[in-house]
Amino acid sequence: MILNWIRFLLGTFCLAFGVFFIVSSVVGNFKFHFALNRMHAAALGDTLGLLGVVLGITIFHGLDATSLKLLLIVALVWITSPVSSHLIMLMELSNGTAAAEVEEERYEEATDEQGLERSSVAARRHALHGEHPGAFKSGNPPKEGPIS
Amino acid sequence: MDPLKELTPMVVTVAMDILAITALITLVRTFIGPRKSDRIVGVNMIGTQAICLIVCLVVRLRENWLVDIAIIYAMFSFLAVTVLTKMDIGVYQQWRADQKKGREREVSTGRKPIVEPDLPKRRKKAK
Repeated sequence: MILNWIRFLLGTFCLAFGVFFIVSSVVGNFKFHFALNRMHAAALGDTLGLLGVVLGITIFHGLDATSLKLLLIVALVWITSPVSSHLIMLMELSNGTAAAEVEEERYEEATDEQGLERSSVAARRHALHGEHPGAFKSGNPPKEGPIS
Repeated sequence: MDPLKELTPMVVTVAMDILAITALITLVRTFIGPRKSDRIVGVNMIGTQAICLIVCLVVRLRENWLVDIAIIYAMFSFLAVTVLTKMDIGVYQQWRADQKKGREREVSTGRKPIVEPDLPKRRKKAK
């Protein structure tokens, strides 16, 4: 009786853990502005969210051949999710000039909203990237993506 | 009576409700994503949430064979993302190759390369 209650509470905790991480991944997917930032939130749901849900369901179900298959799902997704993230990153960066231009434009808009000084582009880069103002000249963003 | 026999399906049902709502919100994000990468990220996330839903159905319906469907769903989700991204990268590389020998082709055939990726237009800001 006590053991059943402990199992129920543990399974509920794991399920709530996983659902919380999936909800936070969706919230992060709306809060970030670039696809490369959104991938970070999506990976959170892919790893910890799926692990929590599958672990909770495994505890509810009990040890069995089925529960081993459930853990096989976690192993499969944990192997394939970084690969798909890498491919999405390659696809986003393959349009190298386009990505750099969009980034620069969005950064300008973001800094204008924050009310930073508009005169110097280098100061904006320093505020956003953490680079030194004289690190590289503004106006020549990287021309080519990593795939050429 | 054991109250756990009623409590466990209730907890799983609540979790499935939340997962369904998050999947719908992710579908909205997939629709309004400005770039192609955003949409593919959304599709990937919807796949993960669908796997979680199917896994929850194993306990809710007491059907063990649903786990196999979840495994196959994970494989197909990965396949979909791989095919979409590889297709886009291939289109871009073809466009680059056409751009590199674009001059000769323009001279020879008199028309521009056909395949173009959707490059976002840069908006000029008035300062």
